[in-house]
Amino acid sequence: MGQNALHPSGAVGAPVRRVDADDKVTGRARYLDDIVLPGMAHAALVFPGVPHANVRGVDDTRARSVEGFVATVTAADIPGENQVGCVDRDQPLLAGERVRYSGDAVAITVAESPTAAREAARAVALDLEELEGVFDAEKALMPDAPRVHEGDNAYLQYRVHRGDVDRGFDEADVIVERTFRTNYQEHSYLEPLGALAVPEDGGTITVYGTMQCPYYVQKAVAGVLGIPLARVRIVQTVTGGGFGGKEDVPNEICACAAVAAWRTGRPVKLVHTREEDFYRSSKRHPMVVRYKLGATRDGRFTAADITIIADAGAYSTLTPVVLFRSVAHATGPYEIPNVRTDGYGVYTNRQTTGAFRGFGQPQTIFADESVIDEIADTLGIDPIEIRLANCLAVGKRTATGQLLEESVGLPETLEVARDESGWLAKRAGESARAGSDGRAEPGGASRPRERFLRGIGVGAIYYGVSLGAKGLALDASGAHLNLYRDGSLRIAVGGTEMGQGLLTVLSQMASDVLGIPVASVHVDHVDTSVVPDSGPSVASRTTLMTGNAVIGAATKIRRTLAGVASGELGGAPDEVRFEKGRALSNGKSIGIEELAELCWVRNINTAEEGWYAAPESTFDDNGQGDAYAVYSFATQIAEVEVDSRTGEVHVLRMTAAHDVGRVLNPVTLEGQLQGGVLQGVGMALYESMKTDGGVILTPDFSTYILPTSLDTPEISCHAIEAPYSKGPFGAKGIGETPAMPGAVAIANAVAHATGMRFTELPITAEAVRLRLAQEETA
Amino acid sequence: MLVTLTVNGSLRSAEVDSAASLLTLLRTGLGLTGTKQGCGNGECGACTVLLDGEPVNSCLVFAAQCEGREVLTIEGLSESGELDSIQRAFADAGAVQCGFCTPGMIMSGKALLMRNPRPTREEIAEAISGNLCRCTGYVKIIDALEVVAKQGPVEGS
Amino acid sequence: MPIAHELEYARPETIEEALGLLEKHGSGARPLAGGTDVVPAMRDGNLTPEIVIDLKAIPGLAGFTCDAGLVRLGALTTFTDIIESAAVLEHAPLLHEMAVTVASLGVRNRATVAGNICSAVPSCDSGTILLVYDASVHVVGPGGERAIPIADWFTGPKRTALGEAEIVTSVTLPVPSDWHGGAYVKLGRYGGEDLAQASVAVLALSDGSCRVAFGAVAATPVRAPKIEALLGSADLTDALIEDAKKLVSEETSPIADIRASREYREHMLPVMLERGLRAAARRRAGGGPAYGTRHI
Repeated sequence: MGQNALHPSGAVGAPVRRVDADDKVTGRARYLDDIVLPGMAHAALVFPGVPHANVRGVDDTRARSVEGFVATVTAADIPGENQVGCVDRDQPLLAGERVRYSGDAVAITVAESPTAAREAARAVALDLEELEGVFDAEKALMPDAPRVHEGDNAYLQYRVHRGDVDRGFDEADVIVERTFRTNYQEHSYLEPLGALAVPEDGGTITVYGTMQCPYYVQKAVAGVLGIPLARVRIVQTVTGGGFGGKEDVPNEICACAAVAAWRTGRPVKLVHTREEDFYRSSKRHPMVVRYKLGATRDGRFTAADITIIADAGAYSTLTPVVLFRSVAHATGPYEIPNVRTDGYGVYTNRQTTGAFRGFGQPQTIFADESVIDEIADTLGIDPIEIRLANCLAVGKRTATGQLLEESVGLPETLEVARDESGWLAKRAGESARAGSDGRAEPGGASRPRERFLRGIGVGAIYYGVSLGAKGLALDASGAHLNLYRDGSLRIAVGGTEMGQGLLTVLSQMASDVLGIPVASVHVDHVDTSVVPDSGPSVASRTTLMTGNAVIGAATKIRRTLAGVASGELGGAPDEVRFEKGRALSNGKSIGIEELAELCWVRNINTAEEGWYAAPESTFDDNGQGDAYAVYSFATQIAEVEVDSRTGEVHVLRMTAAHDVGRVLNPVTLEGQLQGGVLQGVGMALYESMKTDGGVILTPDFSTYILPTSLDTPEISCHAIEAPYSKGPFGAKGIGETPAMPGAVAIANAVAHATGMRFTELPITAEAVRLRLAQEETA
Repeated sequence: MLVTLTVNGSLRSAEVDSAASLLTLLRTGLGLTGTKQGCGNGECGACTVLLDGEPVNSCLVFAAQCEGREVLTIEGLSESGELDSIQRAFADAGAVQCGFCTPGMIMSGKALLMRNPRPTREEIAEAISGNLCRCTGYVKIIDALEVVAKQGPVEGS
Repeated sequence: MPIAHELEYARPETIEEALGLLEKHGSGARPLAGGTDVVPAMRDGNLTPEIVIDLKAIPGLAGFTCDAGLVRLGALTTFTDIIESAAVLEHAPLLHEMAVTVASLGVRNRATVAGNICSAVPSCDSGTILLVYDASVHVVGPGGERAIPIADWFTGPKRTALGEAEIVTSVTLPVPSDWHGGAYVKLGRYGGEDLAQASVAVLALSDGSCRVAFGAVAATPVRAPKIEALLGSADLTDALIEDAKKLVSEETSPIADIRASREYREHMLPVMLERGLRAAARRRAGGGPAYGTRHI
């Protein structure tokens, strides 16, 4: 991977091997379903089979005769509040009165085996009064549409209004307006959702689970059980991928397991099958984005008018935070003086939608970056040039009026991606449009167009790191560090490892602050009884927030050690250096383990708390303010070959240039980039969860297509380092951005190759071929 | 029913339902939880083990069909406590993120290298195309297997 | 898995024993070879046998032979067996070309050709190939043995001519002893092995004639008699191929499903037919791409 030279002196910046790698390559790592407890029972959910209905009765007579049956749990058995709504309080844990989508659980069955629990669940008879449903967000806006909840289906609105949009369009020489549509994308983390709830002494409960946000789960479990937070302990197990899909949905899974455990007095495990996971988990929002952009003849953007309709599904879940991000970022990473963005969240009787890597932005990015390319084409300006001419930089203002004062590496990402991909040569002229390998149809009958069409396209993005102004209230994170008397360090944090490499980079940071080897550091998965509420592990905030908390606590310990070291070695405490396992001062040195032992002997505390709170963010009624503390930036360039006979799009190469503030670990960074790029390829070409009237037509990996090893293009990754002064070692979040610009870069490359612009994703072979056929007949 | 088979070189027996899969036998019957269930339909490859030396989706094989046969799981690669060459390469190359696909991926890689010690990148990609990974984009997984191939034959080839 | 119903598992060691179990349990019995179709169907509740009869221990069903003139695939022959056989590549290379497109390695190591045609989904890869080879399916049941021409085998989606108390023992393919060429053109949706959205098999014989079959575009895999008659033994000129492509709509009746629209299938079939015909003809002439190369 190419990167700017910021040569690491310690662990930070070095390609440190993942600290959890050995556990994972040997099969020792314990995921949720690997845990077996004595006396454990298994739960399954009773699904309604219809998407919209009043519940008149639940009869478990037949279920009781299933061998191994233990209990049925209904809404009436919930001791606390039957409510798990994450932002809006609109979502019962069990649909006791009304079913609003086909994934709603009406009841829970508990039995001695997962098989028996499912058999019992199927044997529960539901008396349902079916209601007319609504399965399309635009139709849900009609006045006569069935209502999903009491109020209007369009239950949520955000806006960003800035300048005078009408005047901006008057100043424009060219205006492009298009409507874009994207469908559900499923996270497809490989480990399905699961939880294990264990009632324990003193009226407490411990819930183990695969999750991103243990503190959300803690609140949900306490709520449904009607017990104080202090009696609820959540332990995150090794988590097999999240990508946003394990942000809020584990609240429901864990709460179901908890209610079942509470009712039966036994440990209860609930693990979803893949199909259940498709039905129950949240997805990327299907969105309709109407996008109008004006520019002057010389390519300066004058105004943007944007409407976003987001299908929230049956419950609000995280739609408010996701839609806020869509709206705040809808213009793309450009300075546009006049902006009118209106976003609506709409209830339907479909699967709920929430967080997915990119968090509401990939859909609007598809729109803005497509329209910009059309404007560039119309004006005869190179797509990268027009982006460079308008893009955010230090001293410019975002659509929300936020002045960017530091850490804006966007122009450099555009330039590096352009140069590394060989953009100029590949973009130039018609010669780029035919495959250079001379492949042609055997037999060589004369053809209206080349069989293989080559194209290159770009997408550029920005991403406000952490929760921003409309996140849930808490945007702070904690850490607890304990330096033992032998100089080893154990770290407890509130941020979760879900595969991204958090445990490793935190180990690297602590290693550098205290001058101890990475091997002396151990970081635990989250246990809510150890570290205070640290908010969620989402929005690319974890490395930043948790990293700063770890650095804060480690710095306190270092100060303690420095005091002891200066007493032993001489010299001032603030001049003691910590390197390679030793403290250096006054020309002499002492081992960290000796210092730790001295502290122990002298009754000096070497355990410390760290706490980091995000800088304040603002967002007024017109969507103006400092929406996020800092932004990450990225450009990706896609090269494609389109087979004009079959419509298949082959991605040949992706070039990804990302401003990450500071590279903490080049190997884990590159891995995140490569994985995100392929998720973008999936969104562009393959992935689409199809539904019909509340039924999922693609509830498995045979029908929902994920990219395989045979679909991976060459991926060239480049890190740009525009350090963030408040970030840990200058780093910014990197979780989301890898999956964001790729899909539209591919769409723009397809447009370059074929001359056809697609306004819906995915761009399947079928879609391309049928469009080509239309053109051929026209 | 009682099924007796050789797992990672040891003769093992387990009582399972007649409808149980090899995956259930390994995970529930024998406590070998290194093999993962990602879909239960033979579509994700997370449950890949070697049955008489050949990679199979253990979720699609009836446990009863494995009577008297030989199974190698992820736990069998590092019984001495040392990582084998493929495991080490995965860890070193950054081929592991969330880790849930990793055991199956390693077993598919093992099967390939036992049969074809010097595969090309294309052959590696083909051999793991039935193993889904959502984190890595597969690049570093292919890198890791390529590293092992360059080191010489793996055990069992 | 979990398969949520009571189930008996039997592992007969002779054909007679297997037939006895089938007779005893009737429609409640399900013979099993690789299990790659049966297990998911049971898991989804689409199949609820009271007993599965594992055929894998019956010696008479194992093995395959491949001599000039006849390929005999025992009922337990897996797709991997076919891929790895040099004899298949030599005598019936089209079988090889089909087998490499089936599912993933872990599935190919278990799944059998016989199982594939017993599942009889319209997209089954084996179907079109066996059709152009004029294969026979050999079955045995209470009434003794019989051979069912592959043309009579498929009776509808997931339906076959196999009797309730019968099992497949082998499939035989008479292969032309002189030089011939073939091509299997399969339309998937991505690089990984997919179920066919549509497929075309072509067998080009030394007398200049061609056999053609289509998969996933009718209720069963189908031969294309009108196209075969049109092509006759004439040279495959561009004009003749264009005429053949025009007949595709008369030979097939594609529907829309979750994998593709009817319209896309209709668009792709002529393209696929052309590729199949040209590749098969070039192979017949001793050239063309190696078997196993993707045509799409």
